Amino acid sequence: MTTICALTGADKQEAKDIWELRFDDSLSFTDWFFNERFSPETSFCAVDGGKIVSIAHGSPMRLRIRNKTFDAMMVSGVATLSGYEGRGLMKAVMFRLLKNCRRLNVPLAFHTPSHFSIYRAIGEFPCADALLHNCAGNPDAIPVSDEVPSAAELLSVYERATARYSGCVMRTEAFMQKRIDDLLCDGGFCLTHATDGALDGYLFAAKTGIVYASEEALAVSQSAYGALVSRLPAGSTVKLPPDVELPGKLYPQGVVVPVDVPFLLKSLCGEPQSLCVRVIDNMLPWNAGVFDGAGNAVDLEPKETLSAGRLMQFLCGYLPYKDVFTQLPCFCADEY
Amino acid sequence: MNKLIVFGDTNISTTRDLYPALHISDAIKERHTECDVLSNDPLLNESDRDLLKRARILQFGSSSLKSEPSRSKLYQSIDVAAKNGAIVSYAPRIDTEHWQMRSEELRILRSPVATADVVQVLPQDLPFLAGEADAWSAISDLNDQGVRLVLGMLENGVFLLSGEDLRKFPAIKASDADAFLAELLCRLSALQKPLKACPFAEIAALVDDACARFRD
Repeated sequence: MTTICALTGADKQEAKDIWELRFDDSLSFTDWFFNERFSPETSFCAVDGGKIVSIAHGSPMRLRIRNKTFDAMMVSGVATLSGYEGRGLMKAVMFRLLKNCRRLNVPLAFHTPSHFSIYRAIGEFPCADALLHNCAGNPDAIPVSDEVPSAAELLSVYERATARYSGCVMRTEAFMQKRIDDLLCDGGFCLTHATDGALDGYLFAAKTGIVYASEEALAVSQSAYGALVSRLPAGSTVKLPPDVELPGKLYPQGVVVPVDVPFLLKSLCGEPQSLCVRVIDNMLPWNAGVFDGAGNAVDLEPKETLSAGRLMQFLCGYLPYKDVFTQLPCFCADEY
Repeated sequence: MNKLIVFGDTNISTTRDLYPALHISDAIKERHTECDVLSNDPLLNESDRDLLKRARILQFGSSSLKSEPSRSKLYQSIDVAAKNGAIVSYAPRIDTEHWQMRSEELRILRSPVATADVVQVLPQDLPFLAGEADAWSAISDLNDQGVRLVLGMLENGVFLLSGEDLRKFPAIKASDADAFLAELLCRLSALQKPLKACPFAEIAALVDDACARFRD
């Protein structure tokens, strides 16, 4: 018999073994994750015969959407052991994780799917994009690492560079330090950019084969972005915010799950008259109903019908909707 | 329950915008007596909802996405049709004079992909929809996003990709792309089971049958 339950501290090694089995991450990254991000009380699993067979990690964070800050749960490491797929275990584990978010008054969850095809089946649609830039500079360039600035200095750049993005994680200095440790744990290095002596951009990268890959590069100006990526050899790849003016492939990067639709409508719309929407949610039944623009449940004939996944795209600004929700640049630098 | 619904785009402001979607609509209407077009009403009205609830297929193009109120009407139509089990079909036919390669516009152009069961793409659509000029990579990207049937109308053939399964059919002329899609949607609308329950071989046979009408 399979049961769905929260992880405990005692599950750490088994959870880590599953991560190593199902993902290609390095041992040093996995060690970092389980030291710094492992949060058993917000993570859930399916247990069969005393063994964890499906798992989803939840890490509490703060997310900024439309210049408002929300408690949010980052979901990562969603995995099901071989032989247990196709039984709905992942969906059941995700449901329990999201139900727990609701219990904790966390109105949002977010993650970076490895395959969007899996998550669209449970109504989760893209809410953030990223730009994958392929460096075209000197193929023989050997980047020389700069001294890694302090967490406070990097946080200052992060905050200025991401202020315009909806869907971005709000970091503290301690969070920034953890992120630096993550970005350096696989032999990574840091390139920096300054204008008139003031730090205004950074890029973390690590060697992958003969080239480099950067999973976090942020700057406060287009020229700083250009200068930073030019220091990597041709063929290197850099994940950038979607509106950076460099050539590259724009791809859907992350999804945001509306755990509490009424609360989000109240916070992000707030105008009762602007909507009378029937929300369809096949995953989280408490979201289904007819709501006005302030998130009040109303006993009226709805003027519109939307799935919760599509509504979330409007709420966060990924897509515009009438004159109710404007479109915004959406990007999340954090992904696990 | 054998209706095929076309999003009419009739509330788009100019005839030029109307053309691509109506071209497909006309092709479908010629071949399918059970085809309806949504109303001119800028809002999704009761009549539209009734049609969508009975629809077997909802077909639309990118011109519906260009501006309000047709865009929000389309999003609602997709959600109502999908909830009621219709096959959602997107044939973008991107007018490159009206759409730019800007992040905001690309998000809108790509937004139906998250809910579409069928996406038919022409070579000029691919850089917009998947950020890839390479046709095969672009078609694979759409498949990775969960589109059940990706139809790539390429110069060297019609490619049908569905999950792990791929079949190539002889090329048909670009000018026949609308009529071909109409033929295929008519066949899909007659299926007696959900698309996800159809074996790939059965779908491939329908595509082959639709293609056959356009071979020299």
